[in-house]
Amino acid sequence: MGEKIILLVEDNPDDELLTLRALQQNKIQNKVVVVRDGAEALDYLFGQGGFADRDSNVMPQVILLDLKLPKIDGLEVLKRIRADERTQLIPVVILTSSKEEQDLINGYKRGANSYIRKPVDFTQFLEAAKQLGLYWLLLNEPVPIRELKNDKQTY
Amino acid sequence: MPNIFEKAAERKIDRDSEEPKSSSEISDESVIGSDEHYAGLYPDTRLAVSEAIPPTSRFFDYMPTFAGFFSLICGSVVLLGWLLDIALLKSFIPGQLAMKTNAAVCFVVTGLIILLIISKGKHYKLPPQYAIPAARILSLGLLLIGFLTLIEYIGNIDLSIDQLLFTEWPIGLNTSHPNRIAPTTAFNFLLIGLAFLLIDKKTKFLLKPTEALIFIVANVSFFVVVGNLYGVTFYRDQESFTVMALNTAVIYLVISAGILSLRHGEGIMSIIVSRNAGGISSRKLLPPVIIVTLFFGWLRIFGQDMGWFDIRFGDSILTVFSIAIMVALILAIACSLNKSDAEREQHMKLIQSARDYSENIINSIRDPVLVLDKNLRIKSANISFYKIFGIEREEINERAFDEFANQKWANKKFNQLLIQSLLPEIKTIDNYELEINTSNQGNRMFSINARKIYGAGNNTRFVLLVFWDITDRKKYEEELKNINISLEDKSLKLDAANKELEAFSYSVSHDMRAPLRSIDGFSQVLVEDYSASLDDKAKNFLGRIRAGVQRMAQLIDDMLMLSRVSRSEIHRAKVDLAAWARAIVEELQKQDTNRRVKFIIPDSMIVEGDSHLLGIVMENLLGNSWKFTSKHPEATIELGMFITADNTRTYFVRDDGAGFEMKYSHNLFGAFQRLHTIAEFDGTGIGLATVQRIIHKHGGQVWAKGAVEKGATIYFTIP
Repeated sequence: MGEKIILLVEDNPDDELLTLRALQQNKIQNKVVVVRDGAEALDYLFGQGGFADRDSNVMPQVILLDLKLPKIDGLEVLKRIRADERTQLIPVVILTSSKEEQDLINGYKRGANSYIRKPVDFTQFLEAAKQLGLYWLLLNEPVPIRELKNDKQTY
Repeated sequence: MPNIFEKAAERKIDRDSEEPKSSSEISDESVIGSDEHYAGLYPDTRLAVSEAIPPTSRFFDYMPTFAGFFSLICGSVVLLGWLLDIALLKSFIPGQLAMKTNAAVCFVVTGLIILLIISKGKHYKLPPQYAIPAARILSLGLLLIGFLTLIEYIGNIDLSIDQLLFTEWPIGLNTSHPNRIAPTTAFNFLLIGLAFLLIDKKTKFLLKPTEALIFIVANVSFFVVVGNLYGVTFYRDQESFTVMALNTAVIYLVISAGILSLRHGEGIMSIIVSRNAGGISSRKLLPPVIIVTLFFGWLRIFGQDMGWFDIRFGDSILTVFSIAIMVALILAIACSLNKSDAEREQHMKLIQSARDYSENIINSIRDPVLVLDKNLRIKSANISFYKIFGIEREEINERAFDEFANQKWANKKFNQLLIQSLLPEIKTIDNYELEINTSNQGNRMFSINARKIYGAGNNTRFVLLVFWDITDRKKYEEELKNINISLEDKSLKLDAANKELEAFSYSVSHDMRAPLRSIDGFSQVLVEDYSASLDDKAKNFLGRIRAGVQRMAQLIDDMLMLSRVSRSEIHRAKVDLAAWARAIVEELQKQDTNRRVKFIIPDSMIVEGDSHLLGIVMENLLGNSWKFTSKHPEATIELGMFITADNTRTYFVRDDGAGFEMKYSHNLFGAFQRLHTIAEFDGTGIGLATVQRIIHKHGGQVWAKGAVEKGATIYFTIP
């Protein structure tokens, strides 16, 4: 408890490395869990498959979600996150290369909290990572976990 | 010979529901004349078909009623006279013989019978079904009285029927049988009774039995009337007979006229009543002939009695006058016949011209028209029919439809349809498709419309067939279908291509940027992490790598924008270009507050177009002007509009910046084409290409004018 985990869903190892570096450079010391496709992301969140022994009461503070993913794409992952009561309140930030209008609309429709286009310029990328960490990990007040549990019991 | 009806596809049979037509309506519209080659289309009303029995005069309609009441009243008056013993009422004329009671009763009965027959019981609270049987029973009574009385005379017996009602007192003069009706009277009633019973009997001749019987009655009575007129003595001194009274005879004459008029549409009466020459002449000539003859007969007797001339002279006069009357009569008839002949000739001419008229119409129709009788024998055809099917006129004459021209037309299915569906029921057959071998043009596809038409006045039915050559139409339909199919195919391919393009764009947007990010990111990582081991030259190279990556990313974004513009649909609405321009200028001025650029923008500039796309146009044009004036210390950028000679509104964005050489102007609107180096002015060369695509999508034109260092003007129209 108290540990604010970031879940990074990213299939491109370069992007993964750069993202981690950007977070690091911006002094974001939180634990970053990296999964490399949509199916793995869902497994982690719901404590199933390769993550069956994980304490599924511990949920990430924020999910950084790429859209174009192997097996299950980002939008579908987002849909399932929002459909499940255990994960429906976790902030999801879409972090992708695409600027297509359709992707933006679909992302927000399915309940994305934010949509960030990965800048090609690494300097800009660093800035974006800094803002992101600052906002979602420090400024933003997450839903208290107790409430989540109480919420669960009512069902 | 193979059957040429190879295909009988798609046929439609219209029931009445579509075009409700009663048989009378059909016959009104298309009457086939009794001359069966004539199909009546003639508008001349003089040829209107007259009814079989035209109403010549109401005289014959009113006559029976009058006779009925006359007989009834006369009989009743006489009976009243007997009842009250008033001599005048019994004989009407003083000094004349009194009418016998049985005769009076018989007249009452006769009157009743006539009225019953006319009214069918309507006015007498008698159900109609009883009227005729009642009339028949009464007629039988008349016949019986006449018959029994005659038996009395012949057998010289008394059946005590004479004085059933009244005893004659004082006993009539010169009679051996008190109150017995005269034998002629009895004979007349016998005939009248019979005449009523046979009233609806017909023979194979024109003359009806009733008419023959009444003719005898009328003549017997007329003889009495004429005899009275000429002063004949009717055996008054003979003991055994009672003589028919004058009053009785007159009543008989009226009754005769009434009975004859009862059925004036039939028998001989139909001739007298008819509107034809015979009817007219008989109606005109009969009354004067009777009256004149009577008059001369009387004149002769009167002259002799007065001693003006002797018998021979009188005979001569009578003979001459009789001949004169007959000659006059014959001449009158001849005259009437001539007139009627002339009229008929006139009518024949009318009919002929009507025939010519309609035949001309039918022959002028380019589609073959054919008329068949109910046995599907060919009655007539128009010229197109002979021409198109290469058939001689003589070939079809009265031949069966499927027989002529070597059974060329034998198509059982179609013929059965005509015989079994069209003729018995009121149906029309529309668009029955048949392939028929024409002699001139080979196999042609025909759409056939069939109509049942009626002959005039009777139930003759004909089939009218109109052939419509639809070969070409079929061909065009087929071609159109193929074109549609290929269009559909193309449209599908286009859709597929668009989808592919979209997928491609998406892939470009997403996947091509990822490696760029890696290059840029790791270049930066190198600079950061290995700063110590990299000299300035190496760092400079890494900087160039990163600049190249940025430019590549910009190119990708611009390319995507261009592709998005090409794919987007136009949603037309009123757009204010000036408002767009002001908003964009505001943004531009924020970018570099040090620049001194004068903007000339009208208050409003309304066009019909897609607001978003036209915004991109303004952004690109004003952005270009802003960029290409950046080397000048002062600049002016203008958005304007003028109307050309052909009333087209032409919009323009003008600047006084770097401009361009007109000989390269064709390069301006190409994608990624640039007239300046990156070092001079940055950019990817996509702006004007985007502008051109958007303007073209609106159906407009775009062009440019400029000179080096004198500025550039981009013109465009939005229809």
